[in-house]
Amino acid sequence: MTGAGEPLSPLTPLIRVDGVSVAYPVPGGRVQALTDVSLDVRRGEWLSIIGHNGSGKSTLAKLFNGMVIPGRGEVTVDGLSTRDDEQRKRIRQIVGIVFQNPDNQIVATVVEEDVAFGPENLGLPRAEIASRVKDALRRLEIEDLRTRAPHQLSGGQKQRVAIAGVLAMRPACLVLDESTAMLDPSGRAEVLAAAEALHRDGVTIVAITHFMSEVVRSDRVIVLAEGRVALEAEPRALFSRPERLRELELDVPQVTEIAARLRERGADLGIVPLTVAELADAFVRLPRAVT
Amino acid sequence: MTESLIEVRDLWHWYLRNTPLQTVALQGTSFTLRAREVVGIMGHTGCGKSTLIQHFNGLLRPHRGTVRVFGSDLGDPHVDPRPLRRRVGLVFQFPEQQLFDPTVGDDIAFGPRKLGCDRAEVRRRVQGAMAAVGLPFETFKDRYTFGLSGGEMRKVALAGVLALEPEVLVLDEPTAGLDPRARRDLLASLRALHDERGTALVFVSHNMDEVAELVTRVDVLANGQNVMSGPVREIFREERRLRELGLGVPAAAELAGALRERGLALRGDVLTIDDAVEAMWTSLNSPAA
Repeated sequence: MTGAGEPLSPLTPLIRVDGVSVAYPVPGGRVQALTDVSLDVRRGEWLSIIGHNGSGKSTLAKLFNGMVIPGRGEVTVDGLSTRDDEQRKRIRQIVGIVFQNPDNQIVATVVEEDVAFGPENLGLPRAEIASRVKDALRRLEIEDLRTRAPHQLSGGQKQRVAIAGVLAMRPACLVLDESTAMLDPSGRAEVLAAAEALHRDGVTIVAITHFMSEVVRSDRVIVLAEGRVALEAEPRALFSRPERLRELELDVPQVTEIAARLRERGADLGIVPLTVAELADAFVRLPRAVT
Repeated sequence: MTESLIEVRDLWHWYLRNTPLQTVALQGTSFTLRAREVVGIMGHTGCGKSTLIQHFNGLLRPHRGTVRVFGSDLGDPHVDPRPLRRRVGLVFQFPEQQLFDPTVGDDIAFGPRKLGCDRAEVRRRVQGAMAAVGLPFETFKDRYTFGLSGGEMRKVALAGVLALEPEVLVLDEPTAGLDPRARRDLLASLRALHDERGTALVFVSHNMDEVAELVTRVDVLANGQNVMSGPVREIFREERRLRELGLGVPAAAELAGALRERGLALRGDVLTIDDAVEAMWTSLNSPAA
């Protein structure tokens, strides 16, 4: 076996979920969170995972770095099985997760110490820790917050601190488990811009979200329903099927909905718009009534 | 003049007051809720929204200024706020963290039981509250609360407050983390509570689309002060100002702005999907300018 640090062939999926089932106990039996789920997370992609509440999204996220071990099936990260206790520490370096509530993820009383927490636990030399912290703070554009206390920060700033802490582990993959759900619009924009910058630098992004407007920026979308993979598609293909999404208790972005309603009335834009600009551009090209 | 249910005047509040770490959360905030109103409170994280609403049922007492709720002066330390808590229901952020009973049904029944409701009344209220948040009674009443998903726990926590049947319902980011269907259901049930029972609502949210859809009047806070206040349609006309405050406008309003930038004349305020479809359809069918 090769060293855990050496990446496998770039063609191998970064994360492979193979025939996985997970159940939690409830009175009188068990509730099946995931049933026979198989999927890959590809290197360098931006994958969105959507689904109604209770569809198994968060359980899936926790499978990705071994926080949950499947009852049946197997999850491998860069070829390492999450079932293997020896490898779990390595796996958590490869896949970092940021959750919904920033207040539950920040451990230190000063921003830079919080960001250093992960690398310190890896037992890295001091100089290496310092350089990773500096780099993470720079990439999240929070150098100026270095010496601040986390409780003084805004929600968007706290989430960027949490992401910096994950980034200092030099992960190949960042999982955002509804990381923007509690943020105000500017905080959401900050976090998404940070994720986009990391993605451009080659970090694989897995985003679990209920905001369809965030889904539009991904390469690929997986829809979970009742603990199974119900759909897999590129965003535009996905949002061109609003009826199917509604059956899955989901929605299309508002601009897509507006275009669909105009089409019902006979004004066909000829595209499935995903953004305000796309819809506006297509709409002004439509022929107008002439008198 | 309509009677005010909640009347806040020049309210000040400090955290860690009289310590070296003292920070001001509210500096002269005012707020009014009249009977049957649906009011939105918006503002960036840390603007003081959550601190303000904790004054509405006496969880926090004013450090300076006045807070009157159903006529009781909460600045008076002799006023017992507990009776007000039946009338003013507060649903906090992450209410799922406050679940404590092992099963869903018991958790929601806790409030009505404490109010002294009889068995039949408790059951009626629990069923009604679960229906309002879209949790099927038979499927969920005996489920373990800790075995629920995050969104399901949120619904249970909301149902627990709805079961108290308060006259004023104050919700702090109630839809954050809910799936689109659950959001729609929740907004619909809030509207039904308002329309059928006359419950007054205070809706604290970052979601501009939902604010546009649900509320009639908005207060915007920044740094513990009132910075904007007015009918929702007027507030959302001020896109630039809202963006400066870390907020935004509904997607439909953003679209209307983009169309106007491209030289289209759209009529009226565009806040919701319905508004946008109507305005765009009208523009298509009116003679070119």
